[in-house]
Amino acid sequence: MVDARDEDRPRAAGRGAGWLLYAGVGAFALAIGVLTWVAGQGAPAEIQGTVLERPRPVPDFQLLDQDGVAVDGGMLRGRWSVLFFGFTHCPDVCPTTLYSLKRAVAELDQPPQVIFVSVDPMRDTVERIAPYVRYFDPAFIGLTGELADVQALTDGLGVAVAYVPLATGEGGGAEGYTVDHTASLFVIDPQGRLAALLHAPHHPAALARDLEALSR
Amino acid sequence: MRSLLCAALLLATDAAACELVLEGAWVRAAPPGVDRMAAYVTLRNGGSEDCVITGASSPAFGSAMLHRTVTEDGVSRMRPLGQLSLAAGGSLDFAPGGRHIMLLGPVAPLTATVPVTLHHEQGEVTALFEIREP
Repeated sequence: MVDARDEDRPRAAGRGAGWLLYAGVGAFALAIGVLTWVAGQGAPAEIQGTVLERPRPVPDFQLLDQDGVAVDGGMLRGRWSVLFFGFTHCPDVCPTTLYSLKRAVAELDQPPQVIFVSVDPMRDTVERIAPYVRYFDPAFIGLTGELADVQALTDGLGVAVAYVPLATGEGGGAEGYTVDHTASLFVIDPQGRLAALLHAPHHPAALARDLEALSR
Repeated sequence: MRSLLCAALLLATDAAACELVLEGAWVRAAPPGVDRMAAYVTLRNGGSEDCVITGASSPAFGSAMLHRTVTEDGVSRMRPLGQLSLAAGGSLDFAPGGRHIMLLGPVAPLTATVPVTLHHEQGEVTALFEIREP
């Protein structure tokens, strides 16, 4: 759209003013470039969670994945990962979170690997974990194992876990408990270090945005 | 004549003290091997008195319990909900991350909907809860 007033504006006189104009535009472009680079270097401005000032190595662990294969901390190296601690007998928070994660990673060009770690290995055997994680996404990983091995990881990361009796109206017993657990998502960098925590509630759009910002 | 009408009206409103209505009722589909599902709904009281909700049940499940997820300092806890009082004209949400009805132990393979009954001090209301993926 041509503004009629452009015609009235006095043209820059001579080569000197033209050079200044090009220099100005060049400096502006350079400034934008530098600012973009600087912004990319530092921590993301705002995520729904906490970015660690100094990423903390995840303690090594010995667990089983959903195929019964023994895995250790090496699985966290080479790509970004998101750890979610939950249990399959959880009717509300865990399915809600896993479903949000599924929708979030579907938005990303380079999705992190999503790892569900059971804080209830007594009930969550490999046989139970496999169809559970696959139901949300065939690419999701589920980890379980000996209680002591799970506890080593939860203690090492500061994941709160508590077993609380629940009156299920069926006489209680071994099945009658719920597990209080940290609901934050643990974001691990490709060097196997805890880089950030993402806090509940986990909504797909914000999750996708935050995961992308963290892995930039 | 007018006093008779008034009396009739008074009787009518007195009989419908708590009017519990269930809206947007749905159940989240459970992954394979899981015996419990969370049901969500908005409760409304269209009556003139508080509804005191005492529990839930379903013929499709062994038991149904009112629960609440509380997330505090990053930790999620699920706790039983005792009685809930819903004021006249008020509404109460059961939604993911908050209150839910935990349905435990399906007695038969589920179809597209689940009948769930909300019990209150003056009666009960049943609705068909739609099973959904999310």
